[in-house]
Amino acid sequence: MKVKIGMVSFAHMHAYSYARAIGKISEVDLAGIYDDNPYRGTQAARMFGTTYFEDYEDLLDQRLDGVIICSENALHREHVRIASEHKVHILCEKPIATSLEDAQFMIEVCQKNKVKLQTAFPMRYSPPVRFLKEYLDRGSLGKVVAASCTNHGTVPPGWFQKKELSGGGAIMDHTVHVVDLLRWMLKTEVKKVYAHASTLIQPLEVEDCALLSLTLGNGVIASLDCSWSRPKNFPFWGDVTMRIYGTKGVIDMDAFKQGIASYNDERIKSIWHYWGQDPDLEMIKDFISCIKENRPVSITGEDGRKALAVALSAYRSLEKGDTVYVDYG
Amino acid sequence: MVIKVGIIGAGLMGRLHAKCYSQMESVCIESISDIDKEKGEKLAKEYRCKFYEDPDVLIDESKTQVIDICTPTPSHRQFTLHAAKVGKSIICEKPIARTLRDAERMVEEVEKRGVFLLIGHVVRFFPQYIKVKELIEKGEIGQPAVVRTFRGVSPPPSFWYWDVEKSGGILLDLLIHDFDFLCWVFGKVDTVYAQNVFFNFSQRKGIALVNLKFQTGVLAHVEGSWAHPKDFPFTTKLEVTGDKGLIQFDSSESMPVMVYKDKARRKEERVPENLFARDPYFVELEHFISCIQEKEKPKITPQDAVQALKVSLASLESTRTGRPVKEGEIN
Repeated sequence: MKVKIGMVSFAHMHAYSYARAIGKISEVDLAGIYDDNPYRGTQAARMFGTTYFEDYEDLLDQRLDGVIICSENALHREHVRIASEHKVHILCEKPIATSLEDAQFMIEVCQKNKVKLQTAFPMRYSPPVRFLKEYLDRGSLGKVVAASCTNHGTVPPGWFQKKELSGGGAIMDHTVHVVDLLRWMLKTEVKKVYAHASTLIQPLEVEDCALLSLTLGNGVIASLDCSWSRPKNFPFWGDVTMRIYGTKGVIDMDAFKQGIASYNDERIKSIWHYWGQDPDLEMIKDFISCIKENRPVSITGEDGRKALAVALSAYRSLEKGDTVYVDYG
Repeated sequence: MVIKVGIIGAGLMGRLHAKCYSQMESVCIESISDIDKEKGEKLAKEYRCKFYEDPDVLIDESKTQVIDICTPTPSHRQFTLHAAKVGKSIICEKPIARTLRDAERMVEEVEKRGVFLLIGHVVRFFPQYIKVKELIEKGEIGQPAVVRTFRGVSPPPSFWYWDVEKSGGILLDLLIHDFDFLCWVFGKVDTVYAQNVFFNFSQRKGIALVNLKFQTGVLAHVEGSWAHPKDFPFTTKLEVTGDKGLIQFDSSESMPVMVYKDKARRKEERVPENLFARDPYFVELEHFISCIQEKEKPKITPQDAVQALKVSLASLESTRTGRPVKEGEIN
């Protein structure tokens, strides 16, 4: 029997990649799309050959097994609550929410309704990332002492720039991926954060450049450049890189390095065509098999909440102009 | 007119400077000094010049116009003050000093005596860094916003570097290059937050991560490594994003020639190097000599060197306290 999945909002552009992934998995049926923006919703429904629902409840009445929620960050809470009350399993886009209270509420409501809640951290499924994790797990790099990381992107449009809906700028958007990888690989939490941020690339109400300095539980020092610092005509959307320093050596990992450079006279910009394995597809496959096999999700709501706590603490550091201990609520 | 130079210190930098001077027609290496007699005499013999075991005797007795100080950082003050008192022009390796007090005393003395003090911030003479500065000034990326630098190498070979009290470690000895360059291009630093770790036997390996904010709001992530293995080629990277674009270079991806050879033993047979028509160290020293000869304003002033030192010291202070440090708080 096919697993029936519904998609909740295409506000976050990752929804398109997830929908494409669903199309590639034979045992999954994309049962429909709900979007509070009818134009965007009908367009997406047409693009992926499915039905558009104007009413969220109508989508949830389609005997769904799971939903993928890609609405604006601040709306995750309500979309998760309603789905969980319909006993539908949930894959929720990162960051899980815009406050720790919302994240905690989402985790609890899913527990209460006995549905699975996975946070969408696709980078855990990237082969270069997995190679790095396995290398560290074997102890081949000795003891890890430091990590220098980036998660760059271009300035995203629309609601990402509105604090009320996004919860913040580059920090809110790009802290959680790498923090999740650091937690996962090093098996410890971020203890302390210091942040610098500026709005210099575009006139926004949120920050577009930010540098985070992190101290982890086991004494590892780390930094994260989460800036939206890729120009519009950069050949690729951004990057996820980690340079891990161990007592026995150094590893440079660039998750999207596997690409083909393309220069075409009909375009102004050159393009980097990524040919490496699609982490989004692997993540969706894993979520589907969790539903089918009725096993716990690989990346929990709590993982999403802990990563969010670091981003929120970075904002607190900016306010205080000093280092802060991460508040995990 | 030929300028006579006396070099103090026959270590890595002293040897490098001697090699550069020997290729300049207007310069004569008059004398060399090193407290390690064997090392100093060997270099003096190579360049057929006088050897002094005691640097202070070289400063007092040699017939040089220029004293070039290539000794460990804490001794810069002593030799600079002495050389200035006897009216010599001074070329001194970076960093200018280990402490702000030493640096300010040095600047005060050379100003009082009216002699040159030229600090070897050689990055200002590397073509790729000059190009980046020019591009930014021409508006290639619009208003600068966020910068990343990387400087990585295997741990330094000689013991005094490993002693942070003497060398200042990565944050002073290695990263002052990037701090100087960044101040040159982006102006004054507002706040510094830095983290570093040292590890392995004698704490030889280390890494530093620095998070800077300039007064203009520009952010910079400055990374330095003494943690790479021995066969790792010296690597620098720089990326600057502005509101209209991004420029970047990576020395490991700018090698115009690569050699892959079985059992290559001699260094020049195996290490890929950036090729320069003129070595940046040569260009730097030639500029310094020309400033001394023509009494022209150098591209780098002692105040610039003090500025860069302040960023390093703020970083060190930040690693000590675990808190951000305002550049103005350093004294």
